[in-house]
Amino acid sequence: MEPLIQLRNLEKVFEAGGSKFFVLRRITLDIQRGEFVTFMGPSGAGKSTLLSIIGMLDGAWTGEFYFLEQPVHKLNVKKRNELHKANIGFVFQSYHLIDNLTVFENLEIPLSYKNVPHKERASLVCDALDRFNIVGKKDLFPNQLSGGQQQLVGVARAVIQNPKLILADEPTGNLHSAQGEEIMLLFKKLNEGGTTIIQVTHSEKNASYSDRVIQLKDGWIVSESATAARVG
Amino acid sequence: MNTLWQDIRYGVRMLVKSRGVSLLAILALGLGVGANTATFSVSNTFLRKPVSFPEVERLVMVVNRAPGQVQDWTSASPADFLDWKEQAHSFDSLTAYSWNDVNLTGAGEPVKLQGFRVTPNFFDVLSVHAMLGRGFISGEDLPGQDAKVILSHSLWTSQFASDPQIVGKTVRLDGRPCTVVGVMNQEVNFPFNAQLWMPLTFSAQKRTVRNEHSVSPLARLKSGVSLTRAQAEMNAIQQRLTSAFPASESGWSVMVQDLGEFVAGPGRAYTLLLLVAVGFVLLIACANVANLLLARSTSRQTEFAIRRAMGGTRWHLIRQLLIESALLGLGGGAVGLLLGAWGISLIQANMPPEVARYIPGWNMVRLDREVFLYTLGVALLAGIVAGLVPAFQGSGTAIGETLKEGGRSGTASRSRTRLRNAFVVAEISLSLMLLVGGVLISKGVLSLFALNFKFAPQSVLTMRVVLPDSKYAAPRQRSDFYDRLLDQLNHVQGVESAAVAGLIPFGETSDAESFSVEGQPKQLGEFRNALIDSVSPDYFRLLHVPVKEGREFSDRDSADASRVVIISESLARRYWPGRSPLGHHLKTGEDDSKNPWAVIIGVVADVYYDPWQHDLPAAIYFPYRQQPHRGSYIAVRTSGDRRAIFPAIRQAISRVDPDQPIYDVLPFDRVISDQILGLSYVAVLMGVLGFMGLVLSAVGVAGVMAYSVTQRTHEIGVRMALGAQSRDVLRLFVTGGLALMGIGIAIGLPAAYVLARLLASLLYGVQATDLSSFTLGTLLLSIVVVLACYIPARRATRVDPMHALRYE
Repeated sequence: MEPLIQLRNLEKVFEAGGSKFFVLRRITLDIQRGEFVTFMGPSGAGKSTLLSIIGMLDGAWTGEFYFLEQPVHKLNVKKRNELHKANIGFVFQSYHLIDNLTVFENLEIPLSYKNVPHKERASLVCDALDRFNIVGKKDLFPNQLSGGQQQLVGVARAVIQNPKLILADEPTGNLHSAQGEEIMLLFKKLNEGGTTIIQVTHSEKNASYSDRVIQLKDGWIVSESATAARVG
Repeated sequence: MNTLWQDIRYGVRMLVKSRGVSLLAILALGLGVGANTATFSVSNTFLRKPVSFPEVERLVMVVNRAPGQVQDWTSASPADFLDWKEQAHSFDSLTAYSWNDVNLTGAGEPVKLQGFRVTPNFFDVLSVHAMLGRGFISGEDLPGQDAKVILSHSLWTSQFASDPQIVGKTVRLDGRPCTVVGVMNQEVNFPFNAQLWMPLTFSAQKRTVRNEHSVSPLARLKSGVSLTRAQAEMNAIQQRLTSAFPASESGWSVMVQDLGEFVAGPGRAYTLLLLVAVGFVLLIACANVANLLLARSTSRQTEFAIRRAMGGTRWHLIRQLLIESALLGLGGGAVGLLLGAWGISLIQANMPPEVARYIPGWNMVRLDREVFLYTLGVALLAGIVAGLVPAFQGSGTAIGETLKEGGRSGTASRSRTRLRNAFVVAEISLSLMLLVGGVLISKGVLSLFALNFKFAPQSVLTMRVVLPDSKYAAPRQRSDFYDRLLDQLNHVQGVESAAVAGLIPFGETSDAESFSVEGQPKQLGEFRNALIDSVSPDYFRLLHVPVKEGREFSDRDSADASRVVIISESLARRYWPGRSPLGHHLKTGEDDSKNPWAVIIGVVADVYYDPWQHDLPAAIYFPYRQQPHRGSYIAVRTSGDRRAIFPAIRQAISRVDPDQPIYDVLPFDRVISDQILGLSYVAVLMGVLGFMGLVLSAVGVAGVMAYSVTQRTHEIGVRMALGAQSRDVLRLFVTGGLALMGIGIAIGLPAAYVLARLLASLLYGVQATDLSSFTLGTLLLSIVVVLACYIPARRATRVDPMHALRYE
């Protein structure tokens, strides 16, 4: 079976004052379906940028990018949006819930953008609330939740549409260790259920939940290694 | 639909959450929309529905334009009207009317009525039918058969107690018995404020008259015939008439004009001007709201990025933001409706009934369904217009960058700042136009007032009489009446002097008439006409009109004495440049008319008769004994309370003729202010709109400055840490504001000049190059803008550098 993601010589450049600044250089990488991959590296290595490109939030790059065998580099913005909407869920370090929406409404957002009918939407949100054990929080606003609860909602929002891929940018960065562990176990469980996960992290411990760690530095992939979890 | 409802719900929540910004935006839009609502309610009636008849769009006026006339029009001659009627194929039918004020006697107090003579097919052309009885029929326009009258509904109600048996009864008009043949329904009061209609007769002699323009033709276009086609046909007919009758027709043209436009008359241009001005105010309000929304969208970049990351497209975001701004627009609409309703009642309450009755459609001005829908539409549009740019800007958020931890969320991009500045510049330019326009028009109106205060109108009482033909057919009878009247009035205690005149400044106007100058025959195509007035000897002294040369009229200038005339200064300058006109002769009518020549015995200063006319008209004055009018003004200068003296004046008139009604008894200053009232309204409204524009612009500038201070707090901290003093920081912000003001003024001044040229073509006393108005407008705007910059900039100087550096 073809990999879920294939990157070939992917590059991203910033031009400022006549000079070029490479953010990503000749990235060639395959990610298999059902894999749990971690991007690591120092600040400015290009991890988050790579995540944004894979998530199709960033369209300004060169090279080849296949997602589910579709050439993303050849797709127009509309097609990319459709591909993104149908297959990708995001989890952010700062949770990025919308402050003025309740938990229920935050979970509803990706579904409404997919034009899921109202009844079906409500039923999917109720399932998610149930699954993540946050039914009691459904009418609360994000600022009424703890950090861990907010990230739980963030993960629930990412998986509500059953994405094939979850992209997580420092998902536990703002959580204390117990909450962080809870979230990582959740990711592991989702991954075991067949969802491909790519995370960016600085934490060796979080990385240990993944199958493979890819190290980036100055925009280059400098190493790839299978983790103990994988080996074990 | 569900998603839309969700967006609306979320939009409401967003507006409630940032209620300060929302209230400010709703208030700004409400001001703009309210001004539009009030102005639209008046102009909609005035411009679109000044008259209401079936298929009114097919009704046209067919009038003459004299040589040299560009904007004004002239009535048609009877012969021309009859020729047009016979030759034109563009019309289903052509009718004509002429003014015919009459006195109604024998039904209580004698009253003067606003009557019109009309051809028998008049009501057929209008497509209206009598409520009681019938319209006129063919044959009733023959001399001797015309003692018929049709009453208006208001006259029937007020004067005849809605008598259902009125048809067939006889009423006395100007002392002559006339049979009532019909009563029109309430909606029919055309032309102007007609109270009754009588048949217009053409004697055999009158049917050939081409020099006397006395009838106003009105026609119904044939179905499918355009105004342009009718105009082309009339042009061709006029060309044929010019070839056949070059002496009377050369240089004359025919104008076919939509009836609604015709009725709206010169007020139309002012109404359009006000509509444009309120449009400007709304645009300023929109620019303000756009700036507020831009600022808010900057702080919502993270939310937009999340929505995009969750699969929302740019269109989803634009829709969400436009819904929010449309909701603001609706809020503004609600406020606007309240303000508009208040504005309408204010405008109506201050319009005197004697002025209102001459304003077409005035009684129809109200907050009706059309005004409501207009307000709703304008409010929604304003909301969407204000939200458009912020929506496109906000939806273009760079997602990855914004969502990155420590990314540049919350900072204003350069393009966004440029946009905000552009909005401020637009506000300043538009405000400057409004201010200069307001100052110019106010100066114009003030100069009209100043012009008329020369008459010292505060101690003058005026009233009007129309002498009926039945009693006063002969000129001698009329002049006798005036002689006895003046004699009686001069004996009333408290009366300093009394005068009679056919016309008085700013009173009811009359068409100018043609005249001939001895030894200076009229050139082919030359338009030579002047206001012709008949006045008593004391007239000029009473109104403080200085005699520039020669003498005033005296009792020597009787009907039997040789005919004399006094002319206005501008007329003297035109025909006798650099020399005295005294001793020269002129007469009314064309060179070949049989009217007697009169010798010029005096020259008086020019008098401005009509505020709606831009050019100063030439005037010719006859002594009333040699040319006594049927309808005249009586002016009385008093030494005491004008109202208190009135009963004595009434008695004096009764002693001369107990049946003679007098009407429009008004202080002269009131006559003047009533005539200028329309213009004063325009001036006041322009002033109010200018002020609104100024306030909105000031809020806009202050908002941008305050936002800029917040955005640059860190920079201020760094600058201060590096040694910048308060005045350096102050200069930094004020200079920025002044630069915007400079650009706004640079754009606004030429635009204001274009507006000033338009105003100068409309109103007497307005000069497009009036430097003082431009200076005053610019100065006022500058002071307010500098203040609006200074207050937020002061806040910047109070920034604590340590706090500011931590803040980032």
